[in-house]
Amino acid sequence: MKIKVFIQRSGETKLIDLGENSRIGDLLKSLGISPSEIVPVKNGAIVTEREILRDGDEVKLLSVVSGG
Amino acid sequence: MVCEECENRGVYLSLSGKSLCSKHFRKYFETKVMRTIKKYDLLRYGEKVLVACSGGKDSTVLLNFLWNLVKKKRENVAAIAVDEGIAGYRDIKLKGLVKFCNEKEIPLHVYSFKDYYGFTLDEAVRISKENRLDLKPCYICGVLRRNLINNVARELGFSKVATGHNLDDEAQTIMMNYLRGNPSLLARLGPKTGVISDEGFVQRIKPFYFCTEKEDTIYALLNGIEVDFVQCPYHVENYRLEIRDFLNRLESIIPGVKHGLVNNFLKILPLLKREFSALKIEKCKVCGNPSARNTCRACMIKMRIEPFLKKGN
Repeated sequence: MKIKVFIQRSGETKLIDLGENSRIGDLLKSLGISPSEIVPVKNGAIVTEREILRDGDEVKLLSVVSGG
Repeated sequence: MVCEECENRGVYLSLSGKSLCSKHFRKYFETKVMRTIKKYDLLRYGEKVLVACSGGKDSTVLLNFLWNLVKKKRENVAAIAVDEGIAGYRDIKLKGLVKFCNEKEIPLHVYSFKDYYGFTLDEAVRISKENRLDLKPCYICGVLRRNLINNVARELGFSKVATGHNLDDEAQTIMMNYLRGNPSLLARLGPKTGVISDEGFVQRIKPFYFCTEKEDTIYALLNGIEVDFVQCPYHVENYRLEIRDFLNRLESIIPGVKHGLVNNFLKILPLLKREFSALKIEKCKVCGNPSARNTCRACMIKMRIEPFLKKGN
């Protein structure tokens, strides 16, 4: 299944291929991002790393890091 | 993934794997902050607190939290923001803060380095580089900002300055000072800062001390506070950045490492405070503020920058 991901820290949007029933945590692993660095927002709602993804979901990874 | 307290969708996963919905996360967050305030005696009823705001989410969330806390004594809370003069950064951050304070009718005091010290941070950094003064941007900014906020808080009669520092910030500062071998600076950390009390110092407090940056962000989003990602242009020259990324990498391998670092540090903090409490506090010969040396760091920076301003460099 394909997931559209926006990574706030880098400003990039990516299309990621994941296996069925993958979770946000699997998505983060595939991107090499630590869960403590982001807040995941799936289709407009804040979710946890255990949230199951479905084909076509849109995920925003909001950076928790302050700008300095 | 549903909340463990009800059937709503979880927005937060704790270190122990407990999922909380927005309602129960708010309760968890607010309880944690109130416990910190009470346990460390950060604020007492009727005290006047000035919230040091950067325009970022942490300090804006803190301002919102304290403003809601003192519903009956709103004259006791105000915000201060410092425009250091970082083109394309602080001006953008402050716009959002001004809008937020206007909407909530929170008194906001805005001061600039240019008016207060006679130069912007951009000018000071340029002068330092051109003349090899070896003054790092974050050092100039931190010293001058703390000095300004302390002076204004004292002059306006505030007994506390609250900052939005969180557990991630504290873990980074502890690690930075350990690695640099600065035990006297470590002694100044903790939920309320300082080793020696002096009437010239307004005590700084950190109500979000035990909240992670992630928890702050979720709480900000749930309260409709904007979470942007505008980076300070001087951030890349910052030692903190290296430590932050190192701790985040470690946290992904060993979850809870930042909590462990801060909680263990708090166990040795009383010993550090005792060790450094005998340090003699002098008065700065230039401005009269309390200082560990005869000229305070803020006056030292001014004295090094000003000659080059007069030459028009």
